[in-house]
Amino acid sequence: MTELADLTVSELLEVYRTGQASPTDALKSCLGRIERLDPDVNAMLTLLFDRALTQAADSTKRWLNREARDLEGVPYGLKDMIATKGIRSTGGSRLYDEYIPLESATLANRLEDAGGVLVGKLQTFEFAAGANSGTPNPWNLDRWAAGSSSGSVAAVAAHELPLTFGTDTGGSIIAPSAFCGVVGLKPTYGRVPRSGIMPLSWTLDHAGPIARSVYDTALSLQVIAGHDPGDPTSARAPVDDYLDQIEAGLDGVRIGVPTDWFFEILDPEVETATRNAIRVLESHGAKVLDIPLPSTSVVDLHAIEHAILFAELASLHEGTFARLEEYGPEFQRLLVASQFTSASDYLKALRARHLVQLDFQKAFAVVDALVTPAQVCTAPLRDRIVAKIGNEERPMMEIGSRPTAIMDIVGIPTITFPVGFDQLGLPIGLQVGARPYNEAMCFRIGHAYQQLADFHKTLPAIVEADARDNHDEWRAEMHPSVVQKPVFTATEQKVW
Amino acid sequence: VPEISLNTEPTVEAFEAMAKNRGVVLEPARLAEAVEMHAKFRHELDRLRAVRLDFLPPYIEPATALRWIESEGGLHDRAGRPDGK
Repeated sequence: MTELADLTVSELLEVYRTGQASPTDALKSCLGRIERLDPDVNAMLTLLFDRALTQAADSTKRWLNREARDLEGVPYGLKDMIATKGIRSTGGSRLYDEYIPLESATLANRLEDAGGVLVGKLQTFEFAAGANSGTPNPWNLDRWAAGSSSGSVAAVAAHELPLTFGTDTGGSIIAPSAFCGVVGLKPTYGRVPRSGIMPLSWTLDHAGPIARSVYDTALSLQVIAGHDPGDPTSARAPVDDYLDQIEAGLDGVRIGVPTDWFFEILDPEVETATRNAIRVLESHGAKVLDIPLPSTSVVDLHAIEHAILFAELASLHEGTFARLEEYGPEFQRLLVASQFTSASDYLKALRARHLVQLDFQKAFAVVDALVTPAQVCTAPLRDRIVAKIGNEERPMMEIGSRPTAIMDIVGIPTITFPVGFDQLGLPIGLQVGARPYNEAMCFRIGHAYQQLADFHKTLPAIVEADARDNHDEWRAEMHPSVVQKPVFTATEQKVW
Repeated sequence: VPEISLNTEPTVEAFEAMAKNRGVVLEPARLAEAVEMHAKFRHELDRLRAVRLDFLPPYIEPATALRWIESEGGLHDRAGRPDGK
């Protein structure tokens, strides 16, 4: 039996439209799943029972009155880097564990204006950096979910929520989405305003949706994309109709497979799944071309990432550096180390970004999209965060961001979706990137793949068991109005 | 060809002086940890430092990367003309 919590966003909107279920029914199904699974999954940081129930009741009325908006009644969650008016917004840090913003982030306002039902604020690595292992991977609770949008991804993977939002600076949406078998979209830099979102690195930060289908990420990007005067870096480029071409299929689509960088350090099982997925795309009309990215052998991408991240992070946290001891141990190490990035290294990194972009410019002159693995391996053990590349183990923090940080450095839109499993049953994700502001191409390719393969429909064992065994309706009267978990920042791992 | 060739290995003493210059006081253990983290990435940083960026046109400035994104990846210039033509 399928519960409402197991439906995708577009499926939920259809059952609302046809009157088969109401937003209140769907919310209660999600709250039941959260109640049963979240003690293990730990995706939620702050749960908003009463507020969500009130919003869902309002949405139910709107559907009855034919006043439904684009995401009317869709339960969703926000990474706790995203400010919400009147609701604790911690950044995953004890420094802000009682911070109640006076205004919501633009992204949150747009979701509220579209009728979404905010269910909870979600776990994040402290200030979106480090390697907090407090949220496990729903596919195997001994495995790491990655991050920093760990709660956002785990909530979707565990079918607690159909839609969440995260941020991505070096891979914080794409990497955990790949590890946890869900769809994550990192839009073009500036496509989604960051006003009201706690920054990690101004020039690399992105915000985007996480869902279980490519179609849902397109639906939700439509709501949150667009210029905002409150964010001077938000793009003025017009927002496409992301659903217009999503069914266009693969005929005539030119796909580039990089011959440099992405396949150089890669677990064989991930490579096999990646190449199989590329063959599927090719056999259904896509033209596949090899694409060189020569700058990646000259310009050190890790150095660019670290120099920019460290310099901007140090500046951002200058005002609270004196409270160093209040940060978690992992972020303390980062913050101290960030003090020693020179201005010349920072400026060199900002300038060298463009050399990599020029490779991508040449690539997009001959292809519509680049297709790569989304991670170098599958999810590592939580108590031993190392990347397994065949029989070799490599430090995750040294190679884990290889496929993703380059996309943040270049600033193009990328999407990941599941394309297979390893021998342990852990998900493997493909990454598709396109020219700036061409998120529509990412959606077109991803949606076409999801019509041909159903890896995204496979359930983690804990969800399968829950869907089979539990159908009790969640009862509001048995619960408090809000649950606030304490912020967890400690980690025994010294990964940086 | 590297532009510069310096011994760039980070040291506790160098970091201590940098911290002092900024008015930041750090315990020796924290300084040592910071040095260790920088040493881990030093080879990569040296590779970045060795990348040659010309003084003469075409200029690559710190903001060029963000302008490139605005231009849809070089499709047009800031005035909206195709590919800078």
